[in-house]
Order: sequence, then structure tokens, then C-alpha cells
Amino acid sequence: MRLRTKLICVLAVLALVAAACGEDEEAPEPTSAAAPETTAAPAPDTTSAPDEPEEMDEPEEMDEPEEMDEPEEMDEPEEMDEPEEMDEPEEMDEPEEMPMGATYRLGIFSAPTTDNPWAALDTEAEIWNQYVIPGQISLYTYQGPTYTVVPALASDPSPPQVEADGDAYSVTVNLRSGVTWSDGSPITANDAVFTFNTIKKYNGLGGNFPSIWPLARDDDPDTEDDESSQGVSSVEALDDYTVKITFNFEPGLAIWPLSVGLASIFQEAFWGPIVDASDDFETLYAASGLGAPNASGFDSAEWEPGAFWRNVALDSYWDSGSQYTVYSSGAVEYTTGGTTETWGGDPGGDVVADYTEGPFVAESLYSIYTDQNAAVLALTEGEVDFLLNPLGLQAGLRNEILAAPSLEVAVNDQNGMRYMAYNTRKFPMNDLGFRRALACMIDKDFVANTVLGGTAYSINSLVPPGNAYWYNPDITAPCAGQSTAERVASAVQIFKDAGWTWDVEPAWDEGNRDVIPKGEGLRGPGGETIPPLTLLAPGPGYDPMRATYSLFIEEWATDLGIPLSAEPTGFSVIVDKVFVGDPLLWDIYILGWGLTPFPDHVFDFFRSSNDSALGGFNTPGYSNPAFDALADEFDRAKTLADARDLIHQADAIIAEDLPYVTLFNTPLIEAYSNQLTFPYTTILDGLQNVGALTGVVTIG
Amino acid sequence: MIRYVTRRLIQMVFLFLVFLTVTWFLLYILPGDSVALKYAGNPNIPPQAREVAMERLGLDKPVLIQFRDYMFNFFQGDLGVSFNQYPRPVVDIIGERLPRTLVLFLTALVTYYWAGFVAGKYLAWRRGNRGEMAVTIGGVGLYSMFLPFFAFMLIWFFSVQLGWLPISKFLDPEQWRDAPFAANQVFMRLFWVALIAAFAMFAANFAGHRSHSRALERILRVGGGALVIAGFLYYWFGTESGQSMRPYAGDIAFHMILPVLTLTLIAFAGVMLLTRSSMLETLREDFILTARAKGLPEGVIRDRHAARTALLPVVTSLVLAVATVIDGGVITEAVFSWPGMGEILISSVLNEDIPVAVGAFAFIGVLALIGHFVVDVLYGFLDPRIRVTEHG
Repeated sequence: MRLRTKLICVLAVLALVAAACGEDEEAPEPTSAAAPETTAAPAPDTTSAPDEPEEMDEPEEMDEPEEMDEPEEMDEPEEMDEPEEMDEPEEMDEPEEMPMGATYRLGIFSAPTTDNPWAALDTEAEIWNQYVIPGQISLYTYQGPTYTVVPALASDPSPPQVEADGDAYSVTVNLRSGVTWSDGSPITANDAVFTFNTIKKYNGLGGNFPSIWPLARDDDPDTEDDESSQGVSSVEALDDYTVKITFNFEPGLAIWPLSVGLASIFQEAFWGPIVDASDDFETLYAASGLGAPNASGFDSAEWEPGAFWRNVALDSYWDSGSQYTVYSSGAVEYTTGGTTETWGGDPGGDVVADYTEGPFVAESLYSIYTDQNAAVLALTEGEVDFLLNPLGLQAGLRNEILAAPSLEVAVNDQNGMRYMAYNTRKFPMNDLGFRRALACMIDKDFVANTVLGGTAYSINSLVPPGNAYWYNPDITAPCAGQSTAERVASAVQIFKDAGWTWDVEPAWDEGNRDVIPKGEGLRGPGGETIPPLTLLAPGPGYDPMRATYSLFIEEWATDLGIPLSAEPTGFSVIVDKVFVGDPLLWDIYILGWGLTPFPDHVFDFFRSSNDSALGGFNTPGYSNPAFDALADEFDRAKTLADARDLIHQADAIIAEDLPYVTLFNTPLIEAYSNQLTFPYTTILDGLQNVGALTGVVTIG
Repeated sequence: MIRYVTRRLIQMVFLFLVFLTVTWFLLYILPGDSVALKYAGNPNIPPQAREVAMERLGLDKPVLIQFRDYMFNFFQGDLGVSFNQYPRPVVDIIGERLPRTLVLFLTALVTYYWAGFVAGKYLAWRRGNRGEMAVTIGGVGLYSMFLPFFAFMLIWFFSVQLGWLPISKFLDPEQWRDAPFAANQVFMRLFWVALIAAFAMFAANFAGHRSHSRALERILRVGGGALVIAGFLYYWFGTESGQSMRPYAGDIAFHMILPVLTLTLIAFAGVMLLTRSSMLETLREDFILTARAKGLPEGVIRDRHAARTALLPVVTSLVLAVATVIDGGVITEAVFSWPGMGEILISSVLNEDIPVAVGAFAFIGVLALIGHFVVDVLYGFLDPRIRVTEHG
């Protein structure tokens, strides 16, 4: 019996080992070949180092750039590797020749959920889908690392101005010839027309589409005068390389060029038959986009759900070999076919990037790691070259990564902020004195530098410092630079000036280094007592930093006699309460935002027409006619300089009125194999925000 | 018996309806909704887009209408479409995840039940020696380990230090480049091959058990086992279909070693202690004394008399464990980058993707009910002391 059992076990193990290690002589019949024209498998020759994903609680937006650091010289494009014969399983399809380079192996922390680029902008607008799906083209685009708006499909160096056109407004954009889809066919004005008409056919679609291709709805009598009816009325092809876009209102920068000008354009030849075949957009979204023509240097070749995604480099990418020189002023010199153009103003300042467009790798292979620690091990062991994560690496892993000889680390500013919001619809948060006094007590630098050991840094502006063009350095925090004793005295004075009183007034006791006595019986200017208040903040399991801030704020509030209690709350619960639920059912909360390069959020978050009670993003319910007037002016702004001036003014108003108290930001830490060479590593929101530069990275 | 089975089936249907209803409403009353969580934090998405999304997903309808529609569609085999991966059908999502979870966790389950049963049997038989103490303490120590920590220790040792096993994932992307099979095809093939082998093994053992000749029993068992192994080898090496899939199946099996080892080391002690205590009770029974008095060999008393009786609670536990295997292990799946049912369950609940969450829970519910039913019926066969009797 025992002998038999052992025998069976040994045989079973042998069989498994043989099955695992064995190779076949014969090549099998491929049952499904997702393989694109350029398959083949060169032996990967890179090392790498990953990091762990954190939860993202708010989507990130892109933003606009300005100064960046010293550029890194980009190595000369390497000679392409000889295609190597595939020696792995012979059961694979016949290997074809790999066009060039090696495999760029990237780790991602969640599985892509779609291969359809339309759905990836709407129902499945996840960052993980955006990382892997090759990019479509737009008229203009953001140029890293400065996020300057530069031509992509357009030939005009700067976006043309919108002009009055009868009752409407229109802009005519000339397109470059020679720009091709990945299948080699030219991209023409008809593709832009098709894209717009498709969105119109499906009633504007959803998700990101209404913001990137806002649809004019002037045929709807209920919304005719409403802001929501404003948008694009039509897109026409005047000829193959001229497109005319008509608006039913006079758009400002935020719409043209920074929404419509940056909106994706899809190929009519591929998607047209699918759109024609169905009146419901679900059919379009359900169609596979694997191998669909795009305008990047890669084709999507293979997707094994839950395991990996593979993009292969194109043999003939239309922009391959073009030379980009980017200056810290934001100007870009672009050289292709022997001619040089300058975009984004006059070149000035340092060169922050100087590189040739690739791709220089044969393929990008995205592997899925659902655990950050395992991913970091994979990076240190050379299993991947780069870890793509919108939140970067945990700060705690930084030293471990730095200790690994095969890895490099890039640290960049995140374009985001964590903030505390008051519900200004309710007492006492509707009292400016209350908001200022509590804000005065919040020693942001103390928490960031001392308590959190420098893993965060405090911010005062609504635009983080990393977004240098838009950042307002003149914004300071209430009671900035004061000691705790001074803050207590200042807060007490602010309360008194606003007409508040105490039964027992708080005071700083130097001997005990504490507030003794603490405030008691605090009453508003009309003698009102403060009801118990709740500070909703993510718990330590979700975000220990925000949880820490909430505890300190509770303590400082208690010192003043404010009955505030910090309540660790699930992210979804906070979102539900402050964005969706009854706006009177919360007091104060802490959350965060990921932001876009163009900081129109400064107005979106606070204009009264955007009150969250109306479905907008003004959660504090802030209402200030002067601010609203600035917002309207911003909507009409036509130049970056005007827009910046308005942003700075708005930022200053909010810093005074304090519906938000900005708290802190964290650096974005990324690690990668030292075999990789990037043309630049200093960029707002890190290399992940430009897809780890698959199109220009070199390996080895 | 037929009446009993019929009654149990009716109870199961009723219970399932209650389960489905409670699950749906529990998920529905969670704060927030899928659309709010997805769009509320993105100021680029205007309120109108959110309204469109609500309408698309039917979330603009009254709750009872939503529930009615869901139940109506559910019992027509339509589990709806995912809110987060709209318009992808829930069945499609579950179909993508289920094979991975089944193969990994069934393998782990069988392995640690087998290891636990064998260890428990020998511990009870050799009670009081040092080996028993060492295995018991070791097993309980492993049982109480924090799974992620232990998993990382094993990854560090076997993958980083020794370099023998992969760090995580269920396949090697570079080996699967241009693979002619989808991973799920391979998972399903592995599943069916293992299932057929298990049934064949069971049939051989059962036939042996029914035979009255010791020699015939041995021939049936050994021969059956050998045939299964031979069939297994023939399939993977001798048939075109097996050969073409073998490298991929081997790669998946290779990636399974570490998670299965981790789960086995962590979980076998529970089965071991259950078997041990059951076996110790059995060894005190009179029929064991009788068997000894008859002069039967020790191995026969242990394996044919004591262990078989002691197997009853283990079988119960195993069947119930099989029923819940599809919920996978959220932690195991996360640590080993093995996105399966556990991951989809947690993410769908967190993101309020009600159709996916209810669909996944429904699968678990159905399997759990079937598991309980099987246990009830099986007990009647396995244990002569338990029989269904008619009352009244």
C-alpha cells in the first residue's frame, strides 16, 4: 500500500515535471492567432525594478507644464538588435522577424479591462487601459516634459483662433500630410469628421467624451440657454487636409484648443463599418480594438486577460526619426525631413529634453502584478524594467530601491493635492472667522516634516508647485511660520475679531507646552453654540497620511473649544456624502484630487453654478459673485497669459475665503532598470504620465 | 429517499431566492453607487455624463423596479452587464476568472486535504511520540501564520534566493508570446484532465474496495493507478492536442507550485487535527478492539477500519470547502498576482458593481447549497448509522 502510494506519487511528479519542462518537436496548429505582422520574440535583455501600487482615489487629469530640470542627454538611437530566433516553446506560431530592439517590460498593477479605445474613454476610463492601449491622434497634443501644447495632426504651429461665423463661431485647422495610421493609410480630415459624427450619432456618448468633444445641444429647448448646451455643432472636411470645427458659442481656452484640440480622432475605415452597423453604442464598445489602427509607434498585438498585454513596434511609424528639442521656456524645436519648426514660443532657458522619436524597442510587454511587494521583487530581480503606477512607489520602498545596484529612481512632483473642505452651507462653517481660525491652527509643515518625516510636503496654492506655469507662489497659509503658541494667540484673535466668545478662553501654557486651559463654551457672533462637528477623512488603512492630518486637526480644534471629531470613513462613503448625498449632512471632510495640466479646476471647484447640490464639483457650496465673475471671464480667456492671471486671482480669493484648506502633496517615486535610458526623467506626475516613454526609451 | 431529496431541492431553491434577494439589497444599500465612485472625482466629467451613465445602467429607476428586472433576467440566465466594464456581460467576466480560481484552489484544496488526512491518520496511530508533537506544533504554527507574510517568505526563499520558482503571476508572458491558446483554454483543459484522472482513480479504488479478494483489490487499485498515469502521459505526450498545449499547461503548473505550496503549508494542519481527533475517537471503538483481537495486521486496522470511519467529518469538511472554493482567496490571489474570483468579488463590491458582485455571490451560493446537499446525501451512504426516516 505504502509502496504503491509512493510509486504513484513519484510517477505523478515526474509526469508533471516532464509536462512542465518538455518541448515538442512539432509546431502545433495555431488555433487563434492574435499575432500581428511583427511577431517574433527577441530574448529580453533588460533588468528592472517595480514598485507597489497604492489605491488611487481620484482620477488624475493632465496638466500643463513649464520648467523642468536639466535634461538628460539622450543616447544615440541604438542599432537595432538582430532578430533572434525564438528558442522557447516550439509550439508557438512561426516566429517572424522582430524589426528592432529589445522587449520593454513594464509592470502594471491592475488588469486592463478593454482593448477598445472608445470604451477606454468612456465606460472603462481606467488608467490601466490608457497605459496599454496605443494612442489615437489629436489635432494638438501635450509635449513632455513641459506639457506645451504642440501640433500633432495639425500643421499650424499654434492653434488657430476661433472666429465669428454667422451666428456661430468656427475654427479652421490645416492638417499635416504624411501623418499615417498604423496600417499605413493617411490620416485625413474625414477621420475627424467621422469621429465627431459618431459621437453625435450616439448622443454625445459618456465618460470623458462630453468634456473632450462637447456636443452642441441647441436643438433642445430645455437646455438652449444652459451652459450644457454649449459645444461643437459640426465638424466638416473642407478638403482632405483642412477641417472646420463650428461651435454654437465663443469658446475659451478650456474648450479650444484644450479640449477639442486635444480630443482623440479615430480611423473611419476601421470603425466606420461597426458604427454603421448599429444604432447603439454598446456594439461599438463591444468590438475588439486589438490591432485597430492608431497613430502611435506601436500596434496592439496581444492581450491575455489578467496576465499581460503586448504592443509591437511599427516598422514605419510616421514620426520615427523626428528630432525634438524642448526648452525650459516651454518652446519646442521640431525637426523632420530636414525642416525645423518652432512651437510654443521662442526657445529660451535650458534644454530640458533633446531626443529622436523612436520607437527603439521591438515591443512593450505589460505584465500584471496585483501586489506591490511582489512587483518590487520582480523589478529588483530583473523580471520587469519599469513599474507603471499613477501613485508611484511607496516612500518606504525608496531606500530598498536605491540599494539595488541595477535600479534608478526618479522623483517628481505629483499634480494633485490633498485638502480639507468646509461645508459653507452650514453654521459654523459658513462663518469666515471660524474657517480662518481653524485653518490658522493647522500647522501643515509640522505634520508633513516632523510627523510624517518628510514623506509629504505642505502646499498652499490650489495649483501644486510642480505645475510651475500656473502655480501662484504668493499664496501663503494662514498663520504661516508661526509657532504653536503664536497660532493659538492668532486663532483666538481671529475668533474675537469675528465676534466669537468663549466661556473659557483657550491660552497657551508655556510651562506645560500645551493649550491650558482649552477653549470651552465657544459661541458664534450671534451667541450660537457649535453643534458637534464631524471631520470625515479616509482611515489609516486607506491613507495613513490623511488619517494623521485628521487626528491633528481634531486636536487643534479641540484646543480652541471646537467640538470636532475626526471620523475615519471609507472613501466611497465620503464620496457619496459630499458629491451625491444631501449637501447638509456633512460638516468637514478631507480628500484629494489628481489634476490636469490646465488648471481649470480652480474655477470648477468653486463657481456657484457648479454646486454639488446641482451635480457639480463645488462641494463646499461656496458662493461668491466676484469669484463667479472671474470664472466667467476665465471661460472667455483666449491666451495662456490671461488665463494664468485669472487663475492666480482666483487662487488668492480661495486662500482668503477658505472653502478649501489645501494640506499637502506627496512626491511621485518611480524606479526603473538602469539599462533604460530616457530622454528626460523630470516631469510633472512622473514618467508614468507619459506612459513610461515607450516611444523613445532605449535599452541596454 | 426520493421524497427527502425532492424536499431538500425545494428548500434549496427557496433558500437561494432568499440568499439572492438579501445579497442584492445588501449591495444596493452600500453607500454610493458605481457611477458616483467612477465619475464623482473627475471634474472633467460633467454632471450630464453621470446622468447618462445612470440611465444606461438602469440606476435611474426605482430600487424595486431594478430588483424586479434583475431577478427576472437572472432566472432567464441573464446575469446582466457589468457597471464598471459596460457593456461586458457578467457571465463573460465570471467565465474569464473562474477557471483560474478553480484550477489553483481545487489543486491546493486536494493537496492540503490529502496531506492533512495522511498526517492526521499517522499522528493518531502513533500518538505520544516526538514526531507527533513536532508535526502538531509545526502544523499549528503554520496554521496561525499570517498568510501574506508567509507567502512573501516563500517567494523570497524559492524565487529570489534559490531562483527555482517564479515570483508571481500564472504564466510567463514571454513564453506565451503569440501562444495559439488563450490561458483559459489551457486552464479548462487542465481542469478536465485532472477531473477525468480523479474519477478514474476513484473508480479503480471503488472497484477494488467492492472486490472480495485482496489480490484483485490490489490489482485493480495499482493497475487503475498505473492506467491513469499512463493515460495522463499519453495525453500530454502522445496526442496532438496534448502536445501542442503541453508547454503552456506546464508553464501554468510551474506557476502553481508556490501558491499551492503556500496554501498547503498554511492549511493542512486544520485537516490534520480534524482527522487526528476523529481517528482517536474511532480507535477507542469496540470494532477496532475486535479487529485487533482477530489478529488483523496493523496497517489493515489503521487504513481499512479506523481511517475510513474517521474520514466522515473530513469528507464533510472537504465537500463544504469545495463549495466555497470559487470565492478563491483575495490575499492569495493578490500576493501571487493570480486575478481570479476573489479579486473580482472584492473589486466589484468596493466599486459597487452590483451585477458582477451578485453574479459571483450567486455562483458561490449555488455551489454551497449543492455542497450541503451532497453532504447530506453522502452521509446516508457513508455512515450506516445515519438514515433518512419518514415521520408521521
